[in-house]
Amino acid sequence: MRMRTPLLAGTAVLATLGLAACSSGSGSGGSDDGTIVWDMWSGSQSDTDALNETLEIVKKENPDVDVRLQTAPWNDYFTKLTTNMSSGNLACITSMNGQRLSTYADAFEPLTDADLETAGLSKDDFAPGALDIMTYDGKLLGVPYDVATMLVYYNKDLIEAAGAPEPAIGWSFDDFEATAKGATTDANAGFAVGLGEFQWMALPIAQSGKQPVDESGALALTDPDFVAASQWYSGLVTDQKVALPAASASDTGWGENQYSGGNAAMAVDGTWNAVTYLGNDAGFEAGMVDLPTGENGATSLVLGSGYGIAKGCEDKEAALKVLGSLVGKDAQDAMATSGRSYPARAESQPLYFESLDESVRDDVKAAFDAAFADVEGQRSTKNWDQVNTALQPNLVSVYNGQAEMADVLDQTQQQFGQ
Amino acid sequence: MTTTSTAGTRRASRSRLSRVESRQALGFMSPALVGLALFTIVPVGLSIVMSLFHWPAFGERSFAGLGNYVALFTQNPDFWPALRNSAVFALLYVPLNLVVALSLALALGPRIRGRGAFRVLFFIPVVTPIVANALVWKMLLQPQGLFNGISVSVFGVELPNFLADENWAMVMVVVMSVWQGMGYNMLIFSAALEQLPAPVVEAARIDGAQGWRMLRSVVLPLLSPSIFFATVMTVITALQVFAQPQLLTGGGPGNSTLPLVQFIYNQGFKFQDLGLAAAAAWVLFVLIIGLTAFQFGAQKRWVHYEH
Amino acid sequence: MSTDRTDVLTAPPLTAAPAPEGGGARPRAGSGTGRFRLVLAHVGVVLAAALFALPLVYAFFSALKPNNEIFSMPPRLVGSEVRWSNFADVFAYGPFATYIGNSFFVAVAGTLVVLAVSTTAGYAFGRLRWKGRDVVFVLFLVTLMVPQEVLVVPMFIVMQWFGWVDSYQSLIFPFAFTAFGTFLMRQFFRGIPFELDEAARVDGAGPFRTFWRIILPLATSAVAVLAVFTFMAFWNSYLWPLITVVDYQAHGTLPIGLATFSGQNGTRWDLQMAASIISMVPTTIIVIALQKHLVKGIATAGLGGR
Repeated sequence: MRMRTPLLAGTAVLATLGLAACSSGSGSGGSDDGTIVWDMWSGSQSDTDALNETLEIVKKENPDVDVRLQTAPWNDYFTKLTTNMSSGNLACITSMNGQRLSTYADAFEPLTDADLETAGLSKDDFAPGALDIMTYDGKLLGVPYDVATMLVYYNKDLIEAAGAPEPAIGWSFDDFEATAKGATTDANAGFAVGLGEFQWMALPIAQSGKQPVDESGALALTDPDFVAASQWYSGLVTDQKVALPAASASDTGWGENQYSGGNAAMAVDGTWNAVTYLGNDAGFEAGMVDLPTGENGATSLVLGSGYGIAKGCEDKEAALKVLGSLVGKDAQDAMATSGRSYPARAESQPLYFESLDESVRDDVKAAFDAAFADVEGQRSTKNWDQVNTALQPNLVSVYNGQAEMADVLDQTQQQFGQ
Repeated sequence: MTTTSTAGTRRASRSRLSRVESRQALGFMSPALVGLALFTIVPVGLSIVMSLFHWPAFGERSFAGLGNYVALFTQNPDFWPALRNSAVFALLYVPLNLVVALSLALALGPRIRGRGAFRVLFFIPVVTPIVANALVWKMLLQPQGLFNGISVSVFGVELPNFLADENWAMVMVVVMSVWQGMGYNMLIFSAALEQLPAPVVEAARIDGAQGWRMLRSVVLPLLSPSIFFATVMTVITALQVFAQPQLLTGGGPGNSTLPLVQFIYNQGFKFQDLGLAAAAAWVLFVLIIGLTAFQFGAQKRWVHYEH
Repeated sequence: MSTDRTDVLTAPPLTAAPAPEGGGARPRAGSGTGRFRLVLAHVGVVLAAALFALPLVYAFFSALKPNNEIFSMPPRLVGSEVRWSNFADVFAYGPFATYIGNSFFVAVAGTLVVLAVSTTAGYAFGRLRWKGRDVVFVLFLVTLMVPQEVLVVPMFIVMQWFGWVDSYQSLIFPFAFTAFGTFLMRQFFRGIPFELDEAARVDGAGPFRTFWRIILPLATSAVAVLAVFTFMAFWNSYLWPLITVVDYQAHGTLPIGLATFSGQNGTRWDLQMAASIISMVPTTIIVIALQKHLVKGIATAGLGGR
């Protein structure tokens, strides 16, 4: 017993010290030696190389600022972000995915018009609706670098072989069902449902014209139109049998994998994967169209990612200049011509199509133009991440016929709605 | 070493010796103590402190006292299911793991050819990265996977969508975990079997024991210390399971396979509520301590030490 | 430990007639029940082995498939082409040679630290007598039961205090002081007769010399077991390296490297499988090489018997 007292006392002292050290809350901001750190996600070496090219452009435009790139793989990026936030280690320029902004909004510094001016940016530089991506609770928390929306991708070979009607731009939900039914054979399904947030919500939103968050920013999963559309969607699996149930709740990319593996004729996915699907491994000819038009017109969300300035960044002015370069004309042009993403800067957008193969260029451009014609910003709530974490495993049960979509939406609304 | 006969001198030299030994012990312990203080006590202390606060990843922290604990037990809809899931997993996993490990260790007797190779084979899943193991099992279990494929083409029976079925998901997580983890216990039991005292076994055989009787009355009691060790360690790891459910089922369908550690991870890293995560972790800790203490207490009844 | 010890279960009961050979009794070749049981055991083991190996075989063949065929329907063992190039592509995808090198370095260094700390502490708990010894030992054990997930954020803060974020030290030291090694060595040391210590003391050896020259050499099997399990733990450690490594090119290890195959645009399953197979080669080789030692070590460490 005697030996333990000093041990316990030591613990108490250290714990209080620790508490005192951490109680300050915010932190240094990742620029302790005048270096501006840019935090971004990256997977393969080629991703990192592309980011380094952007970094070179930024450095050239800001020779007096020392900028450093820091990367983490996509899935782990947000885990590390949480750790960095809680230990005061945020990078001055932190990349953020628009859909997740609500969870991390506290970490970003709101940008004023004066800030944009310092960065050398103007609101008109960006495509319509782009700034909504990085806006939360009425505040602009960053600038977007790419814009995206959801498309329906289809497998031309499978559809032709089955003799189903080919999707066309401006098509209706009846057309969609006709294609899905026609393309469903013993060997493959006509459609593949999604588990990811936008992969599954896109069609119900398009059909009902309603977002799961209403205009006041409150959760509205139980809106009758949205519920009806969602039931129709899950019914594609359970009633109409044009899609297979997902195999597991951890298969976030279920629909997309089924499509790219040639198991399903259609799937919903974002414009960010257009180039990937065009050059798919399985070797089938890929096509893309905008989402079907519902009775309330074409409703589609503009999504994307951007860069923000973290709270507590010491050299805000230098960071703003770097930010301006990151989404400046040269960087955005470079990104567009490489085909990696569809840029947020309006003037750089045409370059994206020029990077595509001539044979598909017109079709892709037509699909993009139609899809982006009528987009609205995504509305989300503070606990949006939790809502989706709760929904995804329950969706699996719905597709498997063991739960009802209406019940799931109801439960989630009760749990998270105010 | 003194051999004088007076009790006083012996007592004095013993107490001097024990002081010397204490100092030596401190010397031997110093690396471990330093490490313990820096890398265990401090983070552990910090996490206890965190559990008593509303501690978002970024922003204001406020003292909550036992508020987090109360919220866990009364408000949070996922906490009790997570607790239940970890308990169910442990209840299914531990016995299955031990039975399979013991059976294989018994079956791999000295007269089996190539038992070394078999032992390595059964141990390989333990050393394979869990990411690969989970992916392969997902591929095997999905409706388009190997098991259903064979079942439909050979037997004409359509198997359920295992990982998406509320009733089957946990079972499959347990099966995969046993496949992955039992090699460790099998090795322990193999070692123990090789060390069974020959005289006792011979005596039993002379008395006419064989097969099942031999197993139940002689081998198992002799193995009980190692079975005890394996049980304690396996219960601890079972209650801390995380990677297998997260990768195989993502905690679904619904929250039917969400273990407590994944709950902790979600609260901390996805929902940014570090205080609540720390509180849940300490509940788990108390549970593990309680169960381990219970097992240590109960060992007098069934564990058979030689001396 | 004799490996020709009679198989406990399959040997038939001895009759009153004495055993023909000396040493352990052996069942006579051809005795009915014994042979049947042996065959049964063989069959059972082979069946179990086949079932066990199935996922591993599947993993290996998946690593040779093109990415889109991993989830092909109906499932096939071999894809449309056998892509041995996947293994090479793993190295082109990211700095995998660095990841392997770092994992090795961290695992070896970490194992050495754990061995040094555990043997000394285990010696103190197992062979020296001092006040409060058992109580402190329980305290040590208790630390084994705190889940790592809740310790990573406080530990990261501690790393910041030391300035060790994104360094080799942060990968090696923080979780190297778990009580498992101390527990194992203590169990083993308790099994060595105390007369050896007495004899050493009579010869005038101090405690450290006793430890280093006499006790430790007897412990090679237990040390081997601890080394293998510790190496494996470091090699497969994922969450903590994820948190503390910032520059993957410099300090990335294999498990976090495996995560780089999942991106915003989908996952390269084929390369991830190939990389996983590469990742399990060193640990498998170690297990194969040390298999006999492992079994012997576990037994003599007092975990196996009494």
